[in-house]
Amino acid sequence: MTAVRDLLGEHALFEGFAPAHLDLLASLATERSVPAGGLLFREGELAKWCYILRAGRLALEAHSPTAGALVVGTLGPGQLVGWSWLFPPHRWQFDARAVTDVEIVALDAVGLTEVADGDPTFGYPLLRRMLEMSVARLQQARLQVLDVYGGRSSR
Amino acid sequence: MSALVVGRRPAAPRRAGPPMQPVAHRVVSRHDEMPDTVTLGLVPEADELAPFRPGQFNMVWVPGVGEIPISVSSAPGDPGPLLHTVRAQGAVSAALAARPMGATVGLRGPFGSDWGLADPLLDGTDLVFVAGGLGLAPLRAGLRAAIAERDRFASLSLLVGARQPDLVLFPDELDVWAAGDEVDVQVTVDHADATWSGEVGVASALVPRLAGDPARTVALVCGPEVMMRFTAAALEEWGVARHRIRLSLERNMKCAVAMCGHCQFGASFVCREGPVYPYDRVAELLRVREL
Repeated sequence: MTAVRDLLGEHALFEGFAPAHLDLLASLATERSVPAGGLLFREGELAKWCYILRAGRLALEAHSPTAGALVVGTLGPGQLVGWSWLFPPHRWQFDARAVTDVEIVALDAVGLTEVADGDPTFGYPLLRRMLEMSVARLQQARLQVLDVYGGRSSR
Repeated sequence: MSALVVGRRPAAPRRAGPPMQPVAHRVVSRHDEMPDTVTLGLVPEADELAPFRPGQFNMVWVPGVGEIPISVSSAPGDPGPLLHTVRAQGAVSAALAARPMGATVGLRGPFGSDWGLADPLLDGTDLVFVAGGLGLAPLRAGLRAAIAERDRFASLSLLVGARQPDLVLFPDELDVWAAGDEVDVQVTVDHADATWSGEVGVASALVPRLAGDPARTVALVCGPEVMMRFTAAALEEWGVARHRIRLSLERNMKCAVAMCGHCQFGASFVCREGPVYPYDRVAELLRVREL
């Protein structure tokens, strides 16, 4: 538990959080691993956990009947895997497949949202940092669809 | 704060003849990199060009068609012909990419500023190369030169962004570098299916995952300008000072000797003060759309 608590305390999402809040987070956390090729979750499944990637690489995929699995992005150590656990309908929007062996910290989403809802000194900074991360991810996704390496550039 | 020397004016070519006069070279090798991109190996038919530094470019003339600037994609010490990697995009580049073995092209150069690898202030740095698409070509010249002096640097990293897996430039050489222990190589693509085991996302997203020390890092960036702007911003956010980030800009060039004004960029000419600029010098200019 101490190791998980230390890990959470060092993560950008929880940097500067009070020791009591880190204890609370640690009580909601479990460690998991997924072998390369395995699925962490599938599109449409209930999102019951907030996942933080500790090691390895995950691919977020959308399945196409004609093209198969299309990778919309990959995630590396330290990154939050998704936000679907935070808002209704609490369903994952993509598949999450382990590209390599991965290690994950999983936080119980129901417990996490209950604490955040009941304690603004915990919930507000948590949501603010998650928003920062999601905006950064959104900006990267926008750049990704710009097709900057397409025909308009000689580079 | 020490100033890194980049964007300096190169020494004048030592070859005979005026800088506007092309020197005949023969195509001695062709390597199809992608369906529209080829690397040409060129050797002089008589006179040689002056030695180049990684990051510099030559004006390459296709007789009867026109002339365009192309960065050198081999390193100065490389054996074999001078390499230029070109994408068939316009009339001249398409004609150049189609030049057969044995054909003649004219070269003027080398022109412009270089990556500044000879700068002793780079000693002991974490040197990061960030390439987008064909931007890997001029960076390859620099990376090969850096590998030849590997002991000078604390670390070497290469981040590569491409449209999709089969459009990654120089994949064989990337594999060799990735398999060795001299360069940390990370490749990401914008689009892929599940058979791709690498990263999917933009090159700038790889910056926070660099293992080096941002305060000790010097970054050399080449790619489409949008990609370079986002990458420079990501490097700065990660902690790299603006004067330690170098971008290779691309503008329409004609004379390459700062006379015609086609490549004017603010108060400078990209053919002379560029193409490699320190980011602190061009960051604000890059926001000016008319430039």
